[in-house]
Amino acid sequence: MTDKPDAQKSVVFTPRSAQDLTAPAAPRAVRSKRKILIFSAILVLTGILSLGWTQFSGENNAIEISVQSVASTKTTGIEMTGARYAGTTASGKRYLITADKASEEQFGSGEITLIAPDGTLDGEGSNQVRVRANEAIYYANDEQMHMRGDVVLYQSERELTLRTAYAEADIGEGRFEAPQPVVMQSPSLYLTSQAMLARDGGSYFLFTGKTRLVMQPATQKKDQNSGSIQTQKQQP
Amino acid sequence: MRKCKMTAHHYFSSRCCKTLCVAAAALITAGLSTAFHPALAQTSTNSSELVVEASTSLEWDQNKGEYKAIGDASAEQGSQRIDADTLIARYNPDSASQDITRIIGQGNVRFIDAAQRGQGQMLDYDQTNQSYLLNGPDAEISGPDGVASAQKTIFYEKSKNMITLNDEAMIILSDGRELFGNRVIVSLDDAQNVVSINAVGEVTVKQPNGQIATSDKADYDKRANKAEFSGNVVITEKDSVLTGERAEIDFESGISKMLSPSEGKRISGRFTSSTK
Repeated sequence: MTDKPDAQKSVVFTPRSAQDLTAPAAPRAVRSKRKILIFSAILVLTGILSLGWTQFSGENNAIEISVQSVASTKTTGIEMTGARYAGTTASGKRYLITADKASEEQFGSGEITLIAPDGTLDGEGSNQVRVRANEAIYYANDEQMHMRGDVVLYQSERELTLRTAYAEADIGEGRFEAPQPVVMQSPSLYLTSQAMLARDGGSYFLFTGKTRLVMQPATQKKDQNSGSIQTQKQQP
Repeated sequence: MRKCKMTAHHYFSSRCCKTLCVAAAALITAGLSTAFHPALAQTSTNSSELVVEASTSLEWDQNKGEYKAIGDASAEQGSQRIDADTLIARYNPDSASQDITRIIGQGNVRFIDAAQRGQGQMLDYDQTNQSYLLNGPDAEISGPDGVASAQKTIFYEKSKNMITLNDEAMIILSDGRELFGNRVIVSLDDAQNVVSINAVGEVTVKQPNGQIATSDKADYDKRANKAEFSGNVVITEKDSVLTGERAEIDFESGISKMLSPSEGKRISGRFTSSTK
């Protein structure tokens, strides 16, 4: 990731001092020039941040990024709201990640904090994996994301929902690990365990510690599809 | 010791034979129809949930269609339950229902179905064919009326309605009667009642009062209510010993007869008693 010259950052995002606010208004030409500078800086920052986001995937063929706003933090970081990032993985699977807020405390560190991240990864056929949490930290250099607070993993093919308080995802390896108690639910099963590891895009799960799995036979599934199971079905 | 030689078509109704007839009839008719009803092979008409538990881990491989529960693993559905060190449950990953089609228990396997129980070192239960293979040593299935065991395997085939006990097979009824054989095959009807029993290799039938019949082979036909013993037949009661190559026991009439070893050959038998 490339850094940005400090001079360029400070021109744009250094807050106005009290003296600035009481000073006489700048001439019209100066104000117009300043607006252009700010607009340009936002564009530059967006581009820099985009480089950070692109590290969600090792190879991206069709990256789409959109944001609602970009701002600097009190220190040397940046903050982006309404972030939306779409791309294609090296294996050709499409994904989309959105977050209410994305910030990098130390700009260039590759450690990006995501507020309300929500990611979707297309799988085989119509299968789709979706992950969301209250908060996440994306370690761009390691392609890892640590999520906390109402972490939910949803697999559309089996209508499978997994919930936990904390989870770590290795995006490059396609692993998802929850070292804390998990609950998994679908129309046909309900599972509780002390910890979990998922890999191969969620097609393989390893639950560790005391684990309990309740499955319903097909006949009962059929009976209940119009009843309680259907109404209990939850999606993130 | 008094000896008595049997001749062709010599019907006898000695106390020894009568007792044996009663024992064999009781062994076959009273016990097996319920005692060895395959515990896991019943068609599950109840649609209750299947609960799988493990203390160490549970793997779920959706590509393979397999669950693997490790450590004090158990699977329970209605009145059926299987416990083992490791349980593997498989389903067809391409099927819509993804219902479990096969359960494999490894290490210290125990299963129960209402009044039926079983144990062994490994259980391979095929839900699709409703058959199972229980491996020994000391494979055992039991019910309210008796116990069946084998050192090697107990194999139930629903399609053939057959239970096969391999290697040192033993059947013990709750009233104390016992049947031994190297290989015992129990044939059932659709209602899981005994149709026939075939025992091969060092066959022994024991009664609580000490009466014993041994032979190389024994075949019981429940419809005819008769059993045929062949090959080195020896029937012992207290001090009396009856020997021959073939013997048929009619459990209905209580009459037994010695038969010729093969077509056209003479029949011979020997009755030995120490009573004077």
